[in-house]
Amino acid sequence: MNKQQLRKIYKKYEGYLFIMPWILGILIFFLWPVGYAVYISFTKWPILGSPKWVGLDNYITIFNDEQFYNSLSVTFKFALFAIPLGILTSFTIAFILNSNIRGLSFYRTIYYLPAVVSGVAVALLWRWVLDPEFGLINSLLAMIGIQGPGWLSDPDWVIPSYILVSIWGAGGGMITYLVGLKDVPKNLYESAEIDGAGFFAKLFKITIPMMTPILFYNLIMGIIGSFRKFTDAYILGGAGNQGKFYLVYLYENAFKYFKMGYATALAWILFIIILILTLLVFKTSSFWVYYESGEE
Amino acid sequence: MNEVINVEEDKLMAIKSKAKFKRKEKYKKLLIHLLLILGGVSMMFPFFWMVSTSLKENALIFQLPPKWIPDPIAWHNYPDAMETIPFIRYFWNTTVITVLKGIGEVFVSALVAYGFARFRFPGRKFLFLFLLSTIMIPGEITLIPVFIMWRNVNLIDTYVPLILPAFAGSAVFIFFLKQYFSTIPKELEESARIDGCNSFQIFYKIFLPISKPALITIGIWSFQGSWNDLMGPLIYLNSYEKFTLQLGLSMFQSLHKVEWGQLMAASLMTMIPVLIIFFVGQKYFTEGIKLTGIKG
Amino acid sequence: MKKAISFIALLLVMTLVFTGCSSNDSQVNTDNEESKKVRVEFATWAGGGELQELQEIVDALNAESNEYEIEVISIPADYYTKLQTMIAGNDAPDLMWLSQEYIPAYAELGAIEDITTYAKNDSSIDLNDFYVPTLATAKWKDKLYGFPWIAQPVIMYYNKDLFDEAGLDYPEDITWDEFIEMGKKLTKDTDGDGKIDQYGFIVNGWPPIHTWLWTYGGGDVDENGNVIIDTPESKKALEVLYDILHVSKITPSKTQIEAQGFGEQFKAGKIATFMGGAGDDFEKTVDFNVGTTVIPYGTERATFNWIASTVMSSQAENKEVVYKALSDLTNKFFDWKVVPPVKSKFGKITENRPDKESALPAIKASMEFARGFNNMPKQNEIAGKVWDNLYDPLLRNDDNFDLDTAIEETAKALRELLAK
Repeated sequence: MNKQQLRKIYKKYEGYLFIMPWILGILIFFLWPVGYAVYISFTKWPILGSPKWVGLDNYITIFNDEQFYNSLSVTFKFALFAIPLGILTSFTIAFILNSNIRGLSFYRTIYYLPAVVSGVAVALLWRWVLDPEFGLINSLLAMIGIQGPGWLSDPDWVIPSYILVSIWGAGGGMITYLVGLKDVPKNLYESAEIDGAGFFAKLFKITIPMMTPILFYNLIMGIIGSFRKFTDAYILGGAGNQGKFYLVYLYENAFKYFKMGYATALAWILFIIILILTLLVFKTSSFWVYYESGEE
Repeated sequence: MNEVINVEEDKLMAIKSKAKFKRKEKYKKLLIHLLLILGGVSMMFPFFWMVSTSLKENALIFQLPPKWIPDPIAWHNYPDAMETIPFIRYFWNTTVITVLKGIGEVFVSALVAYGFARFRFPGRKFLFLFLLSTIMIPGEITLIPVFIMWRNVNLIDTYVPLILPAFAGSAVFIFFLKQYFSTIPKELEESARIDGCNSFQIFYKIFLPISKPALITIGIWSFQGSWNDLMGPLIYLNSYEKFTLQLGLSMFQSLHKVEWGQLMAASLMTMIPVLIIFFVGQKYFTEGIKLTGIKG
Repeated sequence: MKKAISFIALLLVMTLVFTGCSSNDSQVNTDNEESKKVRVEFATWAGGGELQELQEIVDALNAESNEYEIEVISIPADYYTKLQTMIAGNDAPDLMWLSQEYIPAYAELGAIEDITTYAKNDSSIDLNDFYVPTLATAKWKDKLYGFPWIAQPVIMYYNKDLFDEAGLDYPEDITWDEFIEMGKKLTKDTDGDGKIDQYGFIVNGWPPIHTWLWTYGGGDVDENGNVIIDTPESKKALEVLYDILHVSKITPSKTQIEAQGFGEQFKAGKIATFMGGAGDDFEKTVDFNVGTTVIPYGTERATFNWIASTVMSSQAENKEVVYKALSDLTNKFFDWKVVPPVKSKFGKITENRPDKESALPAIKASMEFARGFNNMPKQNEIAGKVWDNLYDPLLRNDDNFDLDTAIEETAKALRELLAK
């Protein structure tokens, strides 16, 4: 083998040099636990005892489990609205907060605030905001003469409540767009202006196409995040099973009902659902995601 | 003569329309400010409420109608909260974990993302999908196997299980940075390559400085994620004196009694560092090296 | 480039330093073993002030004992998740607190040790001194798995001022029917704005639904695991609860409670009667006159008893020494909590809690008939089904709610669950 061939091989595999830490991480921290979790999904495991092999039993049980379908539909309904609304809101906020106005840092920090509150405080906060009688939202609605709904205590309003909560936190997603917006080349706008392009033409012909890689990121993460929604749903609950998101049900099975095998099977079903949705988005991405670097 | 007049008229028209344009700009800005303040106030409400609650005597928390300005103002909740839990010590513990984890996550994620964004090595597509799929697996089912792993190497009740995995990069951050790097035009590195830079130098000298806003974004996320993490420290730490702030916050809630005022005071004190980090960090979204200059 | 390399090197060193720290820790532990003291890990959900009190008890015991050194593991959130992770990871704490609902499952699954024999040979703890229903919650299939350290029966607190104002007798020793009549008179609009702002009672999922079921001779599941939620006795009890909530309406709505607090509303003087744990501190935290009594009765007397036990892990090595630590801790706990689970320590209550003086008769009477659930290994699922199908819909009372249908559905769900 001559030097040139070696160089060629090196060039071909050079990328591995950079992703090596991640690959090592996967080998050390990931493969065994995940393999174990696959095994557990074929067993009956009450956590405290030892796992007993039951073959496909768990998976068969899932398809006859009413609560499984309920949780899945709650989660789907939430995702269907929360993802697009979340993307729209955080993009809009970022778009406005990318302009040249005074007090920008201040506004940005304020809009980021709801994303910072954590832990027990969050639950208390939302309980207070969503309270039917004295809550912030219904008090404001009452001021303009509207009788607000029961939010978390009315089964029909539970999912809308969670969508609202997620939109309130949209300031958290704002920063991804802020970063992207800064990098849209100014000269593109200038030449468009010379061609007489208006606000919307610029938005749809330049800004949004240039932002598609970031939008793509947010869409994928939105899908994963909504299907894995847990913390606030676990703390806040919701009337009539409508707050029982998929992961809440999974968690109950795993740690309250001593059905780790079943919970693990639930997790793999969820994984496959998310994976299929992600692959669908990937397949369509070549039609709408534009990479400046010319990536396929 | 006629021509002269025409020229003068043109000038006048230009000045007039410029003034009109300026006035229009001014109104537009005013409108934006109004919208931002309106939205901002709603974003600030949770914060006001936390401040107000943190200054209330326990008995007055549920007072009706709710009072925004507590009477009397219970300043003592702050010193009390710092005595109920060893606040300073937990603050320090949390800082150590957060900073070490942040260094690992930001630097290694950038390295790996660069590998995925800029090299066409065999297996790249598969590995990238694999990377994404690691985000989709619910952590609840790997909790126990991962715990068993750390116990086998005798590292329970140390910070290692919390910090070390960060040095394999974080899949979410890698994904985000890869998307960001993909918006950077190829020409940039080609000229550097002609100058004789190797891949690592290009990463270090071009990608890192150029991506400052994106790196700061994941820095903020990493900080916020570690700072607010409850489950990790809860599972891996046993000794009271090694606890973090989030574990400390959950101590204000015992089975029958919640110290609301103290809880809110401690929550606020816990939140402030995240806000400061964000406030400082977001400035770079405008001041970072702009690609426009290089691209133009 | 150089910078980057030195940066990575620095990181590695830092990681090593941290790994180094932990190996030092385990060396300290071996030192302890050399001094022949067995390390006993003790998991607790105590937090804040309670944790500090517990630590003092433990420190005193450690100083006295030359056999063991107890180490407190505080789990301030998601207690059972962490506990179960530790047990599954073969790293179980030697001793742990368990709420009564968890004991049958942990026993059935072999996570906790049968201490029947140890307890028989232990002269420092007299099993006959425990209240019988209280000790029953620490047993499963006639074997003893731990010692209760607290037994808080639900008693009734009432606002004497509101009763005086309305010219009513204090609700001492009354039936549910009398309770409802009294409640109607205490539920009113006090400031004339057309909105009711004072209520006779308050319920939001607490007290447990068994408060009614048991006082009419019903229940959810009997001690043999038979479903009894649809017996005539249980149905009668649930009708009484329905009356309280939605016919006589002597309690604020569920949503109102979420906004204004639960115990907080009683403290604010807007609620006439409140079912609280015997250890609650209303006597010293409210500015009106508080009375205490037993809860109302139907066809018989009963009240829910909140009981937790200290149990020993089956993974514990050196079980004799760990049992010794358990026994010593338990004896100390008898002097700590209200109400102690043993009869002989009843008089001690006022030593720690002088504010409880006036409540002693009510507590003493309640302990006679207070009991825990008929806990089953699937207790959490039972409780979940009762809550989802019965108690929660009953509290909310949506337009399409029908009590009989809800009872039938609950019974069906429970039978299916227990048949498996």
